[in-house]
Amino acid sequence: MASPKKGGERVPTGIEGLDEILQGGVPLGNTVLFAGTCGTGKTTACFEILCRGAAAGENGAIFSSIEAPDRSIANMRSYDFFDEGYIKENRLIVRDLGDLMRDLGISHPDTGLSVEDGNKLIHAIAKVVDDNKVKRLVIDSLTSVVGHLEKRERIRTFMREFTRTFQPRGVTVFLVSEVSPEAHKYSSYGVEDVLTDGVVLFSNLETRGDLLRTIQVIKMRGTTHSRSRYVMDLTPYGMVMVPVLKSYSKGGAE
Amino acid sequence: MATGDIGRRLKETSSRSAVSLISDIDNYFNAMKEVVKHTSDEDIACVYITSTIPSTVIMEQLSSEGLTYEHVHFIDCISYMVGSTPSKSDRVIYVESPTMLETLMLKVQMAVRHLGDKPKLVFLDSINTLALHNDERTLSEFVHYLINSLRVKGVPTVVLSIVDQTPEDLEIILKLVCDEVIEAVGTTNGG
Repeated sequence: MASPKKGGERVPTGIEGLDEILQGGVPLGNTVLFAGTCGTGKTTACFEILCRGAAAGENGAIFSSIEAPDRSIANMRSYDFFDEGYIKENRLIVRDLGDLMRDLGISHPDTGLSVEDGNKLIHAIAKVVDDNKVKRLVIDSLTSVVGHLEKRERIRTFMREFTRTFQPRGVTVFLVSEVSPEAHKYSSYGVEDVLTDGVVLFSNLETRGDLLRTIQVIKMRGTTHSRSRYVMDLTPYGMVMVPVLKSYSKGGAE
Repeated sequence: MATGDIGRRLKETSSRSAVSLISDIDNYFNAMKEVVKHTSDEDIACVYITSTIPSTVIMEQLSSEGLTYEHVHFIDCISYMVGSTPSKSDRVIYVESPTMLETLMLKVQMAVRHLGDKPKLVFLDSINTLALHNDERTLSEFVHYLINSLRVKGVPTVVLSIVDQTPEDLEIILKLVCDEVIEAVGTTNGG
């Protein structure tokens, strides 16, 4: 683990390149939005952050509405940062968000979630966090939760309550936001990104006949950081990042 | 300088060195062979970026000379382009085109990470064939990043170029970022 840097304690993501951009990691207790289109690496990045944390002694949890836990775990077996022991020893908790909502009796596909339902969900997640001494929390995806809240004011209330619940616990939170490439925004309702401490954008870049995955830190409260776009790859050994090279035309750099 | 001296000169360089290896056409194969032989002799893993000849051909050539390539990890960005059907191999990472420089950088980073703490060297063969497919300034930026990113990781690089055939911008960047120049020109004894 990297030592805390000036400006507050950091939570190293363990992703080489990203921690350098963030001057050592995400400020402890920040809530960070990982925004991007499908297939850009958000979920894998979250799992890497959780696994690197587990390896360093920080328990992690992911609540997923995207994949069943068994399938998520099966997908992670191809990465060398994943260790089956993390699951067995409850250092990495993988839960189905839909199941949790059904268990709480707040799954109402027709009427959506009320503010009270949102609070119930937050407190149920907080119980898992407390019971397992979780320090890194992932919600994949936030979009699926706020989609049920429907109204912007409810989403705002939910986000505020979410931050108020986990920040005092010293839990660093990563929220996955699904956005379409045409949307030119970081969240579905334009509220989530405003209320989070950080936004990291995952996207694609087509250059010289290659379709590349890219990552860009848009904002991160509590630290100075580069806002440059980096090319990244999800390798069996974890995420790797390199700068985007300029493409030159006759008139200069594109 | 005879190509047989390349290994000796490489042995004298530090672990963070970047070496510009300049060869003429006649010495090309011997120069390449000497780098592979040096890494084998010194028990160094060699990450071999080839944009000149498909990796399968290089392996055949090395085999025919009785040289081992067990320690060589190829990043091959020419096989796809020339229509050679890449076979699945733990030893070779394929990049679809030599124009895909960012992907090439990512694959180098991946190979270096995969090798962990083992001593290793990255060999780029060659700057001239990459220059055929890329803008000089983009390629200069690539070389600058590649060498320096490896230098900070303590991984030495050897960049092969052909004498009098290298674009001017690239020659300048090689002179700027490389610590050593080894010339294998004019004498064709393979050593």
